[in-house]
Amino acid sequence: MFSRLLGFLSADMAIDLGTANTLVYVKGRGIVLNEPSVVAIADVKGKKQVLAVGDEAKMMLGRTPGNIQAIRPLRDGVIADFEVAEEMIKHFIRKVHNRRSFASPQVIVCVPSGSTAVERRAIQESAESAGARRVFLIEEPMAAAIGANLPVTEPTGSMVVDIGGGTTEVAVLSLGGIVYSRSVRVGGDKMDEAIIAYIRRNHNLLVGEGSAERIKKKIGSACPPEEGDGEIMEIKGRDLMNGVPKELNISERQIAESLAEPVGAIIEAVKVALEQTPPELAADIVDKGIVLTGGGGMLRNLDYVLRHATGLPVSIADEALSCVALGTGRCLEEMRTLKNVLISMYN
Amino acid sequence: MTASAEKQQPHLVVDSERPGAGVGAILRGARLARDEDLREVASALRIRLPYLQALEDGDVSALPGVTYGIGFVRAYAAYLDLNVEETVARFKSEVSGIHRRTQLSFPEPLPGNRVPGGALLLIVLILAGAVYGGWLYTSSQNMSFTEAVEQVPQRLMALLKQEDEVAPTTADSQATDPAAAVNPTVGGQQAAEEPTADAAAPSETAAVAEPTADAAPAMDETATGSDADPVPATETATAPAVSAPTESAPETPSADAQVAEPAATIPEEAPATETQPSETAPAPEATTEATPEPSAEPESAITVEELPNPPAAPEPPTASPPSTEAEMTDQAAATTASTAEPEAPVSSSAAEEQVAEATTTDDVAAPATTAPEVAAEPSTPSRIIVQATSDSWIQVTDAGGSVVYEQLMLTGDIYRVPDRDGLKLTTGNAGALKIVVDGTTIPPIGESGEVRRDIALTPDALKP
Repeated sequence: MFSRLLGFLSADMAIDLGTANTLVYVKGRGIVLNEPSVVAIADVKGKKQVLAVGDEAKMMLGRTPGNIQAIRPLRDGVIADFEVAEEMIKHFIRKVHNRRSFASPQVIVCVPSGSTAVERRAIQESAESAGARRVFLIEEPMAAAIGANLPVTEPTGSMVVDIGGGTTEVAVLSLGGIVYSRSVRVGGDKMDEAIIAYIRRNHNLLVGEGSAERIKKKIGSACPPEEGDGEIMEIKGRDLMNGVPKELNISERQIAESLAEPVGAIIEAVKVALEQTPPELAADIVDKGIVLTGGGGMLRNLDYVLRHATGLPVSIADEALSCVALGTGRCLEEMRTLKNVLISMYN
Repeated sequence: MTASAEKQQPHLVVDSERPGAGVGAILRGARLARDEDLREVASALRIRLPYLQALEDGDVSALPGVTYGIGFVRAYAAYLDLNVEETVARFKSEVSGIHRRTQLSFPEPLPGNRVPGGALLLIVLILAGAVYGGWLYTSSQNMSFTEAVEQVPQRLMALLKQEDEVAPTTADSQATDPAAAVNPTVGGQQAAEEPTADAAAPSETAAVAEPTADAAPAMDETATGSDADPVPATETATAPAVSAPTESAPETPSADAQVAEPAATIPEEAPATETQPSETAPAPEATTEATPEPSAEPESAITVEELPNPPAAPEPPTASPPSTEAEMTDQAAATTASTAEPEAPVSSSAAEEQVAEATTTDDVAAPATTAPEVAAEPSTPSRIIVQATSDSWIQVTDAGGSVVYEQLMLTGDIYRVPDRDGLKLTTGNAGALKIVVDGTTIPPIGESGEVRRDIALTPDALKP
């Protein structure tokens, strides 16, 4: 009763605390924040102070002087730097939370399905110390499936592949629960790293993470084009041989080659998941196919590669990037009916 | 779909088409433009043929779900090199309910055979209502104890008022104390007095007339006996109880202020006293001659017992030293009775007659039984009454030197000296004691503050 009253006073929120981006969904208002999970910290006289969070901090990524650090506090879907993550969550909550309401909000945060109890605890505690009244956790594949509008509570199998920045979650859901889930630590970050490694190896050119991400978004593809080199893109970086900045052209085919390894890992995860799926659910999945969510799902031709690798229809969900946040937000809106999918560490 | 749709730039055609044309038609047109078979598309996209068919026919309900439908459209459009986003947007706008969220209802465990919460609440409410209703009914139907007691008759009310005027203050702690202190013996005494006020009133007066020493033992026994078996005659006594106060009242005007006390005590103890009469009946048989007959009628027996008190007093006090106050009240009652005796007849002629009979005959019981509700004064057994006009410590010792009574008497306290030989009074404030012998006040035995020792407490010695 009391908690319901507090619920009126506070703006409850759902947070998709992603490795690459953090999305915040506020009850009744939808997604109000979508910013990179980057924090810039300045070292002022031995004291660490937050300089910027989000987009601003991302601009600083890789461009900082000695006294400033631009940090991504999450790696592989889990908190790598506890203090910085806490600062980031605090910042986002403060930015989103209505100042007039004095009650601290209830917060739902998603965690990778493969995360350990320690990692979950870390996420929960940083959310609590960031000012949350109560913290609920939700497993990412479930949130993604709900966000993708899949009939997860029906007695029918749904397979969702959520390719995020840090992890790829493959899960089979039915009757409101996760039948099988598998989380591999391959995602957008790994693709960026693969691109960086490829360019350095083949062109002796060092590019930053930001550049690698831009390359991936522009000409990244899961499979090489059928004929020719596909799109060409100018990339800039530092020449490893003579140490001067350099510019060179790179083709879609080359990038596709570089991405072969992470894409292969994702396909492998999906295949393993399909192997582990009970036959009745496998039959449902054959009928309806796989749904791709997350930023990684936007990678060009990934659906094509998956379709050929698995022989299943592959659909990319609407608003694939915010599926998890939308699903978490829906849990927040329909807390009463969807309480089953939430994980609470309070009792 | 018209032929115009089957052109090289199908998406442009889609734009110009009428809004309701349908994505399915556009897709089919594009496919036919590429001259492809649906089967080829199905094998390339791994989408089952029926679904593609349904998509082209616009039979959205055949698709496995909103998300999958959109996914299929997107995949198909991409395969056909159509403008994917445009086609998907069009599909969404065409299909009604596409924005509707999938209803998520989690499977819930079947309800067990527990009583549902609502029913439980209803039952509790009904029960509570019934209990409250019952209480309300009983309370409104004058079931309360105060109302169960009959109203005092009008003529007796008048007497009560008189009494109040005479001794308004006397009905103080003394009156209540004895009531509370219902020791076997003392209570018995009081009980004895009170019943007399009841229906037994006449009998009392009769008994008063002839206070015999023999009755005294009977008194004790009756008192003790009362504890044992209260039941038998209770009913007979209850009715009289009401009248009790009024009956005693008549005496009061004539009597001292003390008289009021018994009157006051009576109403309260009335119920208790009723029981006792019955018990007293058996007890007397053993000792007193008068009692044997009364066994039939409890009240009469009581009266007999009371009578003994004044003369034969020694035993009760010894029996119950703790409840001195009670004794005092007894004495008071006795005095009143004694004083009132002459006037008692006033209350009613019938009473007078009975009283007369009682006085004449030793067997008090017989007349007492007949006497119905005649008002009469309680018998006063003791001949000497000591009253404190101000605080005074007194000690009464018997011939053997053992203490019979020792008390710091407060102003207004009364001590009825048991009718025994050899009693001696020692006081620390001789001037504060008013001693009444046989109804007449004797001159003070000393100055205020004077200490007097060993004053013989016999009527002869005290009378000037």
